[in-house]
Formats: sequence, C-alpha cells, structure tokens
Amino acid sequence: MRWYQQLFRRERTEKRLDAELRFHLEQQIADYVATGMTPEEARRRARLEFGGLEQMKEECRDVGVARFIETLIQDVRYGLRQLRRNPGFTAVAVVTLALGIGANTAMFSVIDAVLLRPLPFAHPSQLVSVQQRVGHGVSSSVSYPNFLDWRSQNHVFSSIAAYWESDFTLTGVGQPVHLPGAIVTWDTFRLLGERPALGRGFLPQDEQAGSHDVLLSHRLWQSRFGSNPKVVGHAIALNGKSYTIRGVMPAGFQFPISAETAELWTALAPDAEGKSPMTADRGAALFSVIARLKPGVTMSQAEADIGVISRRLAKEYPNTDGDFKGVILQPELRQIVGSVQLALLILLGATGFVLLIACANVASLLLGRGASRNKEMAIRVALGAGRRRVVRQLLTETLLLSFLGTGLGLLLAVWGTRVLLRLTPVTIPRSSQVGVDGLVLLFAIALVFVTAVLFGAAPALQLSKPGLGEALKEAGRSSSDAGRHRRLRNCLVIGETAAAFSLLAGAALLIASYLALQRTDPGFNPHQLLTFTFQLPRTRYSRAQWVSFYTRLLARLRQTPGVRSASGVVPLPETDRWRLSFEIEGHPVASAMQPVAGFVMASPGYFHTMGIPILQGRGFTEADDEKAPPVTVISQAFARRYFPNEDPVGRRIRTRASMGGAPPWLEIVGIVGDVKDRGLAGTPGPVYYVPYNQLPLTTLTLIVRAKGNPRALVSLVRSEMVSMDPNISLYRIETMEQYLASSSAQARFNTILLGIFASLALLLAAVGLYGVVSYSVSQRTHEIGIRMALGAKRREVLGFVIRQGLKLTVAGIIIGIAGALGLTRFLSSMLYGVKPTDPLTFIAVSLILTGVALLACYIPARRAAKVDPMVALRHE
Amino acid sequence: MGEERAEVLKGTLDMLILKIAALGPIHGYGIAQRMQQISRDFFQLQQGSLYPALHRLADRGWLKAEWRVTETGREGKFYSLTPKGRKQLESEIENWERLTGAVALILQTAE
Repeated sequence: MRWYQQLFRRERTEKRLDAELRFHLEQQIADYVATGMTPEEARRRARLEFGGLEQMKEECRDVGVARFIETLIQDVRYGLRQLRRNPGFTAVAVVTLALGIGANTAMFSVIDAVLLRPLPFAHPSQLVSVQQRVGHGVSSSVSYPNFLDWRSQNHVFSSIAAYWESDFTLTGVGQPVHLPGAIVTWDTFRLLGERPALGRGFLPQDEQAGSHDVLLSHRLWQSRFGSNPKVVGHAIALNGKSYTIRGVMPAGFQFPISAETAELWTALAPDAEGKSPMTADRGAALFSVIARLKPGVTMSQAEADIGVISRRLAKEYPNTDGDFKGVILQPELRQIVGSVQLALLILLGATGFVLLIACANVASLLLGRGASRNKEMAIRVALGAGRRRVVRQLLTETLLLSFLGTGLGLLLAVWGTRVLLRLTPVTIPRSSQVGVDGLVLLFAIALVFVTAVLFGAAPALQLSKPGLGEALKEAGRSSSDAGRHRRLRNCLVIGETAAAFSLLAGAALLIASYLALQRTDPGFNPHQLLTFTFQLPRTRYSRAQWVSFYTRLLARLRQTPGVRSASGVVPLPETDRWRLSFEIEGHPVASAMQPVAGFVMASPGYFHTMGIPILQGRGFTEADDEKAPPVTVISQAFARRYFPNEDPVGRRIRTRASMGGAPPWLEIVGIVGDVKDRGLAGTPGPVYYVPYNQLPLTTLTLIVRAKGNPRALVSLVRSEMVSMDPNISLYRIETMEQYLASSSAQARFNTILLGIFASLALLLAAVGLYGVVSYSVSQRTHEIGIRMALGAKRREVLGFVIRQGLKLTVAGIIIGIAGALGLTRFLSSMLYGVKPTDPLTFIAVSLILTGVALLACYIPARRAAKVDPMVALRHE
Repeated sequence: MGEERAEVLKGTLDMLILKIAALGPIHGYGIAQRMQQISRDFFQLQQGSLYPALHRLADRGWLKAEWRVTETGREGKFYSLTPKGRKQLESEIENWERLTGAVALILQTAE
C-alpha cells in the first residue's frame, strides 16, 4: 500500500494491523492449548510473551511518511487546542517571543540593507577602493596627476576611476536650486557597468579643458525637466557656467553611495581650465578612487602593484608625495559602510541578548506549565506513547508558539523598521533602503526554529523523562520533579538577569558618554545662531565684486531687526576641517615635512558673533582686505604646539594657499580659544584663521546671532538675499543647535537603540523573575500556611519570598558584571568621557536592576503574605 | 524467559526475517516459530520487535505482504521476499560473513 493510500484509508489499515496481531496471539494460544495448557493459562502466557499490544501497534504505525504527516496534523491540532485552552499563557509567551523576534528582525533588516546587500553595480565583488598610505596614516584622497599615473601604469585593474562630491547651484530652470552632485572621471559609470538611460555618457575628452558636459539623475530629470526626452543637447547653468546636458542616468542609479544622493554629474573638464588648474596640481588631493580588479587578480597583488607606483611617485615628487608609503585596497562596500559596521553589529548582538532572555522566559513558563502537565504525560506514556513521540508532541507545541511569535514579531519588525528609519541618521549609508525583504523573511523563519529549540528543548526533555509513572501516584505537589523544574527555572532567571545586566551596562555607558558629549563646551556659544550657505555665480560677479557683495550683505544683515551680529566663515566648525600645511618664519623645512593644521577663512566680526574668546591681540576687521598686509589669527592649541614658551603675536607663518603668485607671509595678530572638532569628541587640534576678505571664495556660510529665536529670522534673511540678487539660492538653513545635533546623530542613534533594547531586556527579565517567584508562591501555599499557622508573621512571609527572588537577582548581577566587563570593551570606540568599566555605571545599573527585581517580587510576596492559613492547609 | 538465551543481536533481526521469508510466503507467527526452531531456542525473539520490523521491511519494499487463507482456514497476513529484498539479504549475509570471519580471525590470532 502506498503511503498516500495509507493516509486516506486509515480505518482499514488499523483493522488490518489489529487482525494481524490478533492472528499471532490466537495461533500462539492454539499451540499452547495443543501442548496441554488450559485455555486461560494459554491466553495468559501468550499475552505475557507478546508484550504491550498498544505499544507494538504504535511502533508499527510509526513506519512511513504517511504516519509522519498524520502525526504532524494530529500534533498541530492538539497543540492548538492546548494553546487555546490556556489563553493567558499563550498570550504572554507569544508576545514575549514577538518582542525578541521583532527586535532582531528589525535590526537584521538594517544590517541587511546597510552591510550585506551587494553594491547595485555589475560584479560588485570586483570593486575596490584605493587609498594612499601617507606617513603613519591613510589618506582617502588622491590628486589627479597621481591618479593619472595609477591609471596608466597599473597592471591589475580592468579600469580605475576618480570622483569627488561637489555641490552645484542650478539656475535658469525654475527657481534657483542647490543640488548635491559629483565630479567624475569620464569612464566612472562605464566602470560601474551603468549606461545613461537617455543620451550618451562622458567621453575621454570630457576630462580636457573646453568641454562642459553634465549628466542628470532620473529624479532631477523628472522634477525639473518634466521628463522631457529632448533635453539631451540643451544647455543649463551650473554655478553660473553653461553646461550641455549629455544624458540622463537610469532611475534608481546612485553614485557615490553616500548620505546625499547626487543629482547630477559633471566630468573633470572645468577643473582643467585656468592658469594653474587643479587637475595639474599634484598636491591637490581631492579625489576618491574606485577600481575594478581584473579577473583572477587578488587584493594583495593589486596592492603590491599600485604600491610600487606610489613609492616611485614619492621619489619623483618629494615636495608633494614625499611621505607616500604605498596604498591600501579595500572592497568598495567595506569602504562605504566600514565606519558604521561595528555599531550595527553591536546592536544586533544586543537584540540577540533580548531574544535569549525572551526564550528563557518562555522556557521557564513552559517548565512551570509542564509541572502541571506531568500527569497528562504520564498517562500518555502509560497508554503506549514512546518517549520520542512525547518529545515530538511537545516540540510541535513549541514550534506553534514560535510560529505565532514570529508572525507577530514580523509585524512588529515592519513597524519597527519604520521607526528605525526615522531615527536613523543620514550618516548611515544605504539606510534609506531598509525594509523587510526575502533575506529578512528567511532570517525570521530561521528564528522560528532557533527559538523553538532554545526555549522548547529543555522543557520537552524534562517533561518526557522516563519514570513518569511516579507522577501518576503523586499529587504532583512536592515531587522531586518539581524540585528539578525549580532549579532549572532558577538558572534561567539568573541567566536572564545576567544578560539584562550586560545590556543595561552597555546602554548606561552609551548614555553617560552621550551626556558627557552634550555637556562639553564646544568652544563657542551655539545658542541663538542661524547659519546658511550660498554661492555667488562666478559669471555675473567678478572677483573684485565678491568682497564688496559680502560686505554689503553683512552690513544689511546687521541692520535687520532681531539680529545682534552677523559674520561669515568657510568652513563651519565641526565639518571635516580643511587642513593645510604651513611653515614658520625662521624654521625652514622640506615641504613634505611641513606641519599641518586646520585652516579656516573668517569674515570680520566672526569671533565676536560666534562667541569665541579672543585671548590675545585682535580678531579680523573690515580693514583686513586685499590691500592690507596679510594677517592670521591662531588658536590656543596652535600657539601651544608651535610657539611653546614664546609670544606668537607678531611672528609670521606662510601657507601654500594664495591668490596666485608667491604665497605671502601672514603676520599673527591674535590668539583665540579652541573650538571642538567634529562630533565634539577628542581634544581640539591646532587651527589658524585667515581673513575671508583676503582670500575670498564664491561660497560663504553666514552666521547670524539673533536677539531672540533664530528661526524667526529665516524669512527676513531670505528677503534680504532676494533684494540683493534673486538668482542666488540659500541652502543648509539651520540653527547652530540643529547643526550640532546632526553631527552627533550617529551617537544618538546608537544610544537610543541600545537604550530601547536594554529596557526591553529589563522588562523581560522582570517578567521572568515575577513568573518564577509567583509560581513558587502558588506551589508553596501549603508550606506558607503551615508556617503561618506555627506563628510566622505576615512581614516574615513577605521578607522570605522577596529574599528568595533577590537571591536569584544578586546571583544574576554577579554573573552579569563578569559578562559586562568582557563585553563593554567592544563599545570603547563609541565611548566619550567614560571608561568601559566605569564603576559608577556598574553600581547604578546594579541598583536599577535590584529595584526592578524588588518590584517584581513584591507582588507575589504580598499575595503570599495574604494567605489564610486555614484555607491553605485545607487546599489539596 | 531464560537468561542464558541471547536477545537477537541488533541489526541481525532484519537479516533473519529476510532469510526466513526467502523460503516462501510466511506469516508473522510462523516467522517467530521458525526463528526459534532454527536456532534451537537459543534466540529469544522479543516479540515486541518482530511486528514493527516486519512493517518497516515492508515499507522499504524488501517484503511484500498479502492476505491469504492459512491451512487452518483462517485469514492471515503472509510476507514474502521481493527481488529488492533478495538483493538486500545477499548483501547483509555477505556483511555478516565478513564480520564473523573477522571476529574468528581475531579470536584465533589472540590465542
């Protein structure tokens, strides 16, 4: 009979099995009778020899696939009935699992989108980023002439491209708009395996002076050009220069993969123009480099090959490349997401802990319920169920719980990723693609089985222990089984508490360091400041007009009602600072050995507007213009490092930056307080400031100190700008406080998430402790009754129950401290102002955990104290 | 149940059943009887394991089962060897002989 026939003809199969075995027995009886036994004696003996009839039937039935499916259906049906019969238990277990699984799935979906998904380009595993090793460090940027040498001399790349991100102001198509973009070598998109959806890409001549070509993103083409297919060949104005549209990239194309999505791309040609073009300057390290490995070439082979070129450059051009020490290759994906990888993995680890705690809780619940199911199991075994069969039934029930938990968990995850996305700082690359996809679903399904084994295996084995026959005879109250269950559950609670402690310690450390970050003095007064940036169109303003434009604009802003003072700066503090080498008069050194410091260009009144204290000398005034002698103001750290034990004011330094011609000597006219670097962590490095009016650019970030709310000034500032030039667009309009918040967004993201996960862990551990203590109270009602009857006071009973819970908590905390000491090391790169083993944090966390544990024990303890001895003693 | 009688060695039960069934269609009771006769009551067949084994062998396609009328006029379930079962029996016997040969060799060498 085929297995599917068996499945549908079960009745017949049963009858036949029955007949076969009865036939055997009857034959045996007949034989015995033939040897002279009485029929009764023969029947008895045959039965005895044959053994357990039902057990044998069960084993015969166990053969084949049909049986497997049949058992499964039966078990699922039975399991569902069991779950429905205990709605309270089911709800708690499913919600607990759903919280753990939801947190894991949500976090995994972030990891999947950010770290795991391959780059959206052809053969992404061949793409590498190439970085220059300089002195003891690594420089991610390379100059164009050096890149050209890499491109022409390497033997390991099928192609190599360079790019840098740059902003553009687009005018002449609707309102002027400021757009993020990138400047790329001509074959960048070809290297990526992408073609424009419309028009042609760049050509080799687009890297030579004279061509002004631009490619548009699909989104820009839709929003600004109405998806007009005839747009190719048209001219548009970018930063006041005319460019020809050569094509439109396909929808969804993104390059570089960074926070700001580029809306347009130009080739290098415009930078190859002028008397001393940037593309001819070996010292202008601006480009990121991406390359595609030839098939069969390994990373280390390629690294060696380019390293040879790099070291040759160091010999040939000692002035600019003297400290080149070879190159470092990295998979392009690593290069993009490397900075956030550790934080995300730590967060996934944290959710793993939450899931373990959830599983321990459910296991503990199952054990507690199992104690009351002892009898049921004993009956099943007595009726012929083998141990494997009982374990299977129990595992089916746990799998059902797991499935329900995962289903609900997935819903939580879908909702959770939406919340996560809102919390995610833009500094996490690719975070916009976070969502529940196939891989995430697979992960969730894997969790079903992992969790089922984690929380289901121990209780199932425990329940199906042989010798269950005992359970039938006992009332099931004070059996040794119950003791075993209690010990196991105690261990689970201790483990949960330890895990929760580790998570709480990690979260507390992050919170402490985040608060420390917020408390640090940035070196200026960030309140009531409004900042915005704009760009002057080069075509309509000659160089001579720039300074007068800025001077007039600042004068108008200062007279605007509600404005206390106004000034300008490039770049804003806490951006990735410009760094420029310099030499000190009287200390000549080779140019590759020159010291390097932060470089800031500031308008008159900058230090006053920002609230940066002038410690000595003066700041910049309107008089420091192009006709006046060149001056500089240095930071305190600069003075300490380069002029120890001497008065720097009056000394002169020289930088490579100039307005053309030989760089002039700059006289130090003042010393100002230090301003913190990006992210506010770390000590401020040396910085020197030059008057913006002596080295003007076409872009400027304005800083306005308001008398009241700086937001109220936005429209006034806009209208001032429009009245000066309606074709200039303002961008990055934000208060200084918003700006600072965005620079610590990643830290806040880590802190909030770990905080959420730790709270979840704390809650679950508390529920677990509550469950164990209240179960033990219900099991010991009888004992408590006797104690009270013998004169124990209610307070003593209360204390006795709470002590029991606290013992578990303290054990958990001790293990948790050991665990946390081992784990918080991984956080050390994210901490600021606290050590990973900060004793205060550990003490605080211990207190919090103990407090919550007290609360969790108090409720069942009060119930115990209210026990009426008479009722308890009668209760059997 | 005599203690001097060995339980059927695990794994050899299948081989013995196949061997007995190879002699012609036979029912479960007959197999049990035959096993005891052949081995002169040395093997104590745990009857509890006979029927599950029969069902398992039938499920694997080594035995064919059919209902027939016995010499006493009753309906019984008769098992007979399939060609697949014959192959299995041959390979099991071969294995068994190699194993016992090896054991004998070891015992002789050890003397």
